[in-house]
Amino acid sequence: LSDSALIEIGSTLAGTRTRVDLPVTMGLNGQPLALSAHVLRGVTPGPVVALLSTLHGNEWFSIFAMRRLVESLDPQRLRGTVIVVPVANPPAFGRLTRNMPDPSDSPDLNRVFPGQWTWTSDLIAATLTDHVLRQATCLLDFHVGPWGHADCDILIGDDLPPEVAAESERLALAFGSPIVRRSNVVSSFPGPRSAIGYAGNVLGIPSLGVEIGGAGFAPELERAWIQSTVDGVLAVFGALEMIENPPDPRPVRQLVYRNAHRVNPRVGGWLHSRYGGDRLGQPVTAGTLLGAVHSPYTDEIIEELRAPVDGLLYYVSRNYPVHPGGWAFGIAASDGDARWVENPSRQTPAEEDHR
Amino acid sequence: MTTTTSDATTLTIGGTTIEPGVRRDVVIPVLTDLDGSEIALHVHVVNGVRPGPRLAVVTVLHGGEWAAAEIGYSMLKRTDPSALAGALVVLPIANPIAFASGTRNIVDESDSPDLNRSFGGHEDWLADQLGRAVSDHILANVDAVIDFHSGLWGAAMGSVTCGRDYSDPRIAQLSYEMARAFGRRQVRRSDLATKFPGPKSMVGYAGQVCGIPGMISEIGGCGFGDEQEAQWLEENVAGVTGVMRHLGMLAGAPEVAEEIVVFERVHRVNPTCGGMLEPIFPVSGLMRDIAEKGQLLGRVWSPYTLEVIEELRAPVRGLVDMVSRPYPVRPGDWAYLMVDLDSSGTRVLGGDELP
Repeated sequence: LSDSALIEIGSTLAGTRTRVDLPVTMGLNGQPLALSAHVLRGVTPGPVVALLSTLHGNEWFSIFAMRRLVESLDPQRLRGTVIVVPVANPPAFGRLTRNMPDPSDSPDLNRVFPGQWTWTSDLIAATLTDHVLRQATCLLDFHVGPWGHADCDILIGDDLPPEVAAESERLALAFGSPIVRRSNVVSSFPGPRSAIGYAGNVLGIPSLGVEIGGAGFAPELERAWIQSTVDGVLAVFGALEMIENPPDPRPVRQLVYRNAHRVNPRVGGWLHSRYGGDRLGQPVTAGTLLGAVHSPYTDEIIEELRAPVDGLLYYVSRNYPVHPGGWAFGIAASDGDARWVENPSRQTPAEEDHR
Repeated sequence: MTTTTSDATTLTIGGTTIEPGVRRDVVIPVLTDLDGSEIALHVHVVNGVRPGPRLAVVTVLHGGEWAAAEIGYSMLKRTDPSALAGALVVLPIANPIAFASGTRNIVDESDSPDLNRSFGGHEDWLADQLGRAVSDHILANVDAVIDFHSGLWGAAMGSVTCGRDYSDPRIAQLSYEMARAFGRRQVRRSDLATKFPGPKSMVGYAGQVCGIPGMISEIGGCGFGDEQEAQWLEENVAGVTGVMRHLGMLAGAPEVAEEIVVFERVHRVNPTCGGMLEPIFPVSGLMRDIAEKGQLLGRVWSPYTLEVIEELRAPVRGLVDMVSRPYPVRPGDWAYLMVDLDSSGTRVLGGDELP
C-alpha cells in the first residue's frame, strides 16, 4: 500500500477513523447514490483489508458486526488499514431484497464484478472495484442469512492462483469458522464475477466469503453469531499482524471441504425445521430428516428434506414460508474430498469423529 | 354471491355440506391470476355434534403476518367435534396472493392493495374479489369471527381489539365480551366502523354490515426465538379456547382477568427515518411493564454512517403494546406502540363489568 492510494478513498490521516462517501450515480428519485466507506487507518503501513457487507440487500445481519468493528477498532493500535463498507448495495437493502429491483441484465450485484456495463449494479461494482478492491490486499465479503436461515462457513476459492488460494485458506482457518469451503469461484458459476472470485482471481488478493449467522432466531444465538464474526475478523487481522493479542476463535478442529449439498425445497410451503439455529455446524448422517414442507393451505406434509450425505450442517433454517428452491439446509460433505485441520492449541478432538 | 346455506347442525360452505361431528376441508375457487394460478380459499371446518355458535378464525389477511396461521391449525388439532357445540371454521391463509410474495399487501397497481381495507369493495381488484369471497363464504356462515394480525418479522404486539362504534350497540357489547373472554388484562376498544378504514376491515365489516361480533388478536411476532414465539402461540390458542367457552362451544368457563385495562387510543412510536432499529425496551416488558413519559424505547442508527440518527421515546406514560427486535426499518416502520394510561379513554374495569 502506498499512502497515495488511500488518498483516493479520502483524505485520511494515520491513526484516524474517517468516513468517506463514494459517489456512484444519480437515481431516478433525483438523489445521488453513494456508498459509505469507513476507513480506519493505522499508525504504521501494513495490509489493507476490505470488509464488504450487504452486497445482497436482504443479508443485512452482518451490519451489526460491521458497526461493532468500526467502533471498537483503535486505529492508534492498528498496523495497516481497514476499509469497511457496511451497506454495499443500498438500492437492494432499501427494499430488503437480495437483488437490485430493476429490470436489468445485472440484478445480482455479486455476479457483476468488476462492473462492465452501466446498469446500477455494474456502477456499484465498478465503484467498489476502483475505490476499494484495487487498494485492498485482502477481502472479507459478508453474506449472512436473511430472515429465517443462518449460515456458519467461510467460502474461499479453490481455483484461484495457488498462492492466493493457500493464503485465503490460512486466513479462513484463522477466522475460526468450524467449516471452510473450497469452491470453484472462477471456473464455475458465476465465473470470476463475484466479489471474492474477482478479487482472488483478477486482483490476486486473498478473499473470504464470510457466512456466519442469520436473522430471525433467538437473541442469544444472534448475539453469539455477531460476536463470532467480530472475533473472526480480529483473528484475521491478527494473522496478518495488524493487531496485537488477537482472539483465537478456532475450534478444536475445522473441516475444509469441497462438496456442498443444498437441501432446499422443490415446492413452496411452510418449512417445519428439525435443525434450527442451535444445530449449526453439527454433524448429520445421510438420510437424516432435516425438516418437512407443509402446505400452508392444508397443513399436510408435501415434501420431506433429508440429508443426502454425511457431513456438517453449514446452513439451517427456522420454521418459515419458503418458495421453491428457498433456503433450508446445507450439508458440508465430510467425504474423501474433505479434510480436518486440527488446532494444536486446543484439546484433542472429542471421541465423535466424522472424518 | 352467497352459495351457502345452513341449519342448526349441518353446515354447507362453498357447496360442501358438513354433517355434525365431521371435519372437512373445503376449497373455494376465487379467481385466476395472470400467471395462470387458481387462487382459492382453503377452509377447514370442524362441525360439532351439538348445535351452537359458529366461530370463524381468520389469519393472514396480511401476507407478511404469516406466523398466525399456526394458531388456526393448532385449534383444528385440539378441537374434537364430539366435544364441540357449533362449528369452528378456520381460514389459515386468507390472502394467498400477498402471502406468496411475503408482503403485507397485494403487489399490484390497484386501488385496493390492502385486503383488510377492502371488505365491501365492489370492484374486481384482487383484494376486492378475495374480500367478497371471505364475506360470502365465511362471514355469511358464522356467528362470530376472530381475526389475527401477528407474526410480522421484527415486531411483536400484545393486545386484543374490538369495535365499539357499531350502529347496533349490541354487537359492540358482544364483541367486548369475546375480547374479554380471550383472557388478556388489556382490551382495546376501537372505532372500526366510523374511522379509518371505515367498515372495510374484515372485523369492522363483519360488525357493521354483517351484524356479527368479532375481535382482533395481535399477540405475537416473528424473529424472537422459538421459545418466545411458542409462548405467544399458546397465548393465542388459550385465547381462542376462552372465546369458544364463552360462546358455549366448549365446556367450561373462560378465564377472565379480575381487572381489565380498557383503552381506546394508542400512540405509534415509529421511526421517521430509515435505519437499523436498536431496541432498548425489552420484549419481556410487552404489555407488562410501564414506560414513563420520555423514556427511551429504542434508537435508530444509520447503517451508512453508523451513528445514532433518531431516538424513540415514550410520548406518554403507559404500557408498551408493541416491541421490536434489532432489524432494519424504513421510515414509519413498526417499532413501538404505547397505551396511554392517563388518557380519559383508558379505564380499569372489573372482569365482570362491561364498558
